[in-house]
Parts: sequence; C-alpha cells; structure tokens
Amino acid sequence: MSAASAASASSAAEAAGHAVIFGLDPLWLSTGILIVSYAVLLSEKVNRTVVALLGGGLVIVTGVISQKQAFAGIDFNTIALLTGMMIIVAITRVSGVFEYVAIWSAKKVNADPIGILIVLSVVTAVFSAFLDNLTTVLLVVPIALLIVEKLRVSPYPFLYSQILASNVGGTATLIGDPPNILIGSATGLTFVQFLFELGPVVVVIMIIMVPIFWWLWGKELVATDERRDSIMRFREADSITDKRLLVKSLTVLALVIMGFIIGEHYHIRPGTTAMFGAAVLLLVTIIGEEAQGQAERLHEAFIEVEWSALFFFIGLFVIVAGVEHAGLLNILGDALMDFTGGDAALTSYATLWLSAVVSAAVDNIPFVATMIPLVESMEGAIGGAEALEPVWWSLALGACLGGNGSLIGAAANVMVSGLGERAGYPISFAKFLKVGVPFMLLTVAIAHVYMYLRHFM
Amino acid sequence: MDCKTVMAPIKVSLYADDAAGTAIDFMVEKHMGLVPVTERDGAFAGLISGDRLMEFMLPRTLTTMGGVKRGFKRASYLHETAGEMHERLDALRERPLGELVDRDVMVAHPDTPLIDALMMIKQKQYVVPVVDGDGKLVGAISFFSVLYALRQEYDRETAEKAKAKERDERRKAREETP
Repeated sequence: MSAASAASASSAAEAAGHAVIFGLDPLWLSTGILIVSYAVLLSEKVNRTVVALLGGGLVIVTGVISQKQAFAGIDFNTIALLTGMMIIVAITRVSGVFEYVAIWSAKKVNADPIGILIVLSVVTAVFSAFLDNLTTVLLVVPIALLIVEKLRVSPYPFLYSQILASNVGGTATLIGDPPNILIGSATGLTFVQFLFELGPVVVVIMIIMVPIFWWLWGKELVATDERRDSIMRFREADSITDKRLLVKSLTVLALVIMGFIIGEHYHIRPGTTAMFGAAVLLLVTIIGEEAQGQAERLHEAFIEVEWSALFFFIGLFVIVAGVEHAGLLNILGDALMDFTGGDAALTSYATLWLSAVVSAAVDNIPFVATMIPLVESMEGAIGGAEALEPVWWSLALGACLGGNGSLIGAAANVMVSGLGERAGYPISFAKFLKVGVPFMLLTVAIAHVYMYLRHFM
Repeated sequence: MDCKTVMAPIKVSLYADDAAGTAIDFMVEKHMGLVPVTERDGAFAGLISGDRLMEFMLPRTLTTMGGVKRGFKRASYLHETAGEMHERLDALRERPLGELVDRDVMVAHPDTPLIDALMMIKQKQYVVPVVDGDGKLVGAISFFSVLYALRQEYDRETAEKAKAKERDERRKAREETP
C-alpha cells in the first residue's frame, strides 16, 4: 500500500467514527471517566499525573474520541508557555538572584520578623505575577524558612502567608497562575488585557493583605536583637554566584515579558514567546563550550522542568476533550444560562463564586480546564464574545483567589505544605482552613465588588 | 575469600545511648570518619559518619531543603560567626548517638563473599559492618582491612605454592636418584 493510500485509509477510519465500546452512550461514558478521575484526584491515593494520563487514555481507547481529536484537544500553547518559563527560571535561579531579592528585602525592614513576613509576601506576590506561582514558592519558601530558623520564630505564619500571597499575586497576569494560562490560551485574551483587568483588583487586595497579616501575626512574631543581628549579617551580594549569567538571564526574562506584551499584536502567542526565549537563553549560556559541556548545561536546565505537571495537563486536556465532544459541557452551560436567565452580570457573579468555592475544594487546574469549554458554550446565549468577557475574568478571579480556600486548592499550596513537612513543620489542613477560608471569602467579595464597579455599574 | 577472613574486629564500641560528644571525641582522636554503633547488647544500631555529624552543624533548613528541587546549592551569604556554629556543635554533643546514626546501611555476614563487600564499598559505603545471624556486630570491613587481609592471604598462598614446589622438586630429585 502506498503512503498516500495508507493515509487515506487512516483518515477514512477516523471519519467512519470510532465506535464507543459496548455501544455505550459517549455522553455517559465520558462523564463517568471525568467524575471518576476527579474522585481519584480528590482522594490523593494515586499520583495526579498518572490519573490524568489514565483518564485521557480511557477516553480514547473506549472510543469516545479518536487519537486525532484527543491530540487536537491538547493546548500546546499552554504546554509551551509552561515549559519555556520553567527552563528560563531554572537557568536564572542558578545566578542566585532570587536569594538576593529575598535577603535584600529582609534587611530593608531591619530584620523585624513581621516586616520580613510582609516583604516576603510582597516579593512572592510580584514574582508569582511574572513567573508561575509554583516556581515562586519553590524559590522563596526555602529562604523564608532559613530566615525563620535564624530568628527562632514560628514558621507557620510565613508558610501560610506565602500560600496566600502566591495565589493573590498569580491572579494578576496571564502567566501568573495555571488557571490564567489556560484561560488566556483558550480565549486569546492578551497579557495586557489580563494585566489591566486583573492587575488593579490584585493591587487592592495586596494593600488590604498587609494590615491583615500584621493583625494576624504581628504580636506573635518577636525576635531578640541578637537574632535580628544574625539576619543583618547576611550579605546579599554573596548570593550572586554568576554575574554574567545574571545579566544574560534577566535580559532574556525582561525580553520575554516584553514579548508577552507586544507579541499579541504580531499574532505571536505566549507559548512561542516563552519557548523562543528559553531557546535564546540556552544558546547564550552554552555558547563557547565544548560539545560535552553544552550537553551537560542542557541536561541541567531540562532536569528542572516539572515534566509530571506538563503530562498532568496533557492528560487533563484529553479528558476534557472527551466530555466536550460528547456534549456534556453544552448541557451544563445551558443549565447555567437557564439559572442566570442569560444575564451577563448574574452569570459573572455565579461563575466567580462557583469557581471560588469549587477551586477551594478541588485543584483549580482541572476545574478551569473543564469550565473553559463550558463558558465558551454560553457565548451565543449571553449575547456574543464581548458580553462573555466579564465571565472569563470572573472565572480567573474565582479560580485563582479560591485556591486560597484550602490546603489543596492550588498546586502552590500543596507545594508549600510539602516543603513545610520536609522541613519538620507539617501544616494542619484544619488550621489552614481557619486562615484560608476567611481570606478567600474576603478577597472574592472584593473581586465581586470590583466586577460590579468595572463592568456592570 | 569471605568476610570473616577479612573483617577487622571491633576493639572499642560506641553505644547508641552514648552522647554524640563521645563519638565526636573518639573520631577526632582516632582520625576515623565512619564508625559502627551498637546497642548495649551488641546489636548493630547503625553507622555514625563525619559527614552526618557535619550535617547537624549546618542550619537545619539548609539540610532539610537541600534535596528539594531548587533548594540551596550554597549559603556563603549567611556570614555566620564561629559562635553561631559552636552553639550548634554544643547542642549536637548532647544528643544521643542513636538519634544521629544512619540505620539504613548495607551490612555483610561472616560468610558473605568478599566480592559482595567490595561492591558495597564501591557504592561509597566505606565501612561495611559484619553482623552475625542475631544482628550482633562481629567486625567491620574497610578498604584498609581488605588490603591488609588480601596481602596476608596472598603471602600465605604464595608461601604455600613455594612449599609445594619445593616438595615437588625434592620428590623429583629423589625419583631421579638411582
């Protein structure tokens, strides 16, 4: 058989449809796979990447969708954006710049414990906005714990505040938090649109966050002068290990962020910008080295990529593609429209609070991945793409801020909890709820008021 | 060759309920970097090593976060004083050795072939404790004890061969004599 006839036979097989196993209804089957996958994810009995890949595999082998449709459902812009940023951060980190910023900030407040807690929260929020928040907590929490050890104060306020700040900061930009990356990628909303829509409310929340943290932990965090001196002796300049690398990596990082801002005008998606930036940074760091050295540098950068997170996304995209093709999300979208009567304001508020509550209870990434096609299905009923835009912002605000509602609400929370446990400070689920739920409710209420003032007043 | 022919006997015991200070003084005095520790009944408890003790001389966060991706690679920016380090050393000296030993180590038995003990040493465990069927420490094998025993064994084998050759030559000479 020639290549052409083989290809034509293969596409004929695709077109002929892929009979669903045992003649089952694809709607029920795909819904079942989605629910079971969610349940297993929630139980945390099996690694989440394995669950997503198994769920995705099941959607294909049971015939709900073909492999071609499954691959078409994978959002490679998201995958490329995450991979590119992970490589850039992995290389930049080696320069020691993140330690520099954390130590410099701690000394600026004269090593006052509550002052350090607040400046490190602001540092984390800002880093979370321009890197992803998972990476940010991985960079800042270890140095925060080192400072805590030196000050001999409780680590818990620092761990809690890092979680809260990372989710707040990550809300501000397209690249800040995985839900935003997913929404931006699916809708084509630009980096600048995210920044101007979500940035102002994040700034308001951060301004309110400072006195709240002071009130919550100010009295508890007291250190002797001797302990504070041990922090003031830190020399931030010594944390910079490679000045040339620092200049190269910060230049590329700045260019990539600029690329996010202006790239959209030239139809260059964030995934391309991030991957291209990663390739340029790899080039400028390996150039001039022997072949063996180049291979080692490349390996060092690639080993820091969170491959399991990327494959989690891939599996998830396929599961969601299954329910989308089977029509479940259209049905749910219509139900939401019936509930809100197609009113844009009511739909936005409902999406905001629903996203917040669900994101507090389950990981916000699978939730948003499922919600995206559901919201897309409401476009006609709500009156077009423009009317739908506030719903997208509500989804982003709800999912990102809702992540603060519990210890499993966002990937960064799980990461901080893991770091704390490793350092000998396990975080109690219930104790975090006492801080997380009120903070989440307050910030979502602020977002609600903001949505009203900005879009519906 | 097996481990019982190579192992060095344990002359001085460090016990799991000794204070770490005892082990530190012993290791400094004997210039030893890795020493087996036993319970009072002679059961093997684990190995105490110089690098394990050094780990406790560092700020705790550096070691607990050290293995985490993106954890600390270096910490020269801390600019710690000798007083701060000594404070941690003093605290370390008071701790029971049993809390500090590495229990997850490879052990050999007296009849374990020497080649297996050499494989353990190759895996960077420079002292291989030898325990009997009841888990009691009966000796230890290190690079030095292997070389020492090997030389002894080689000398013995060479001497035996020389003797055998001499015997053969004498026998041949007797047979050739009419």
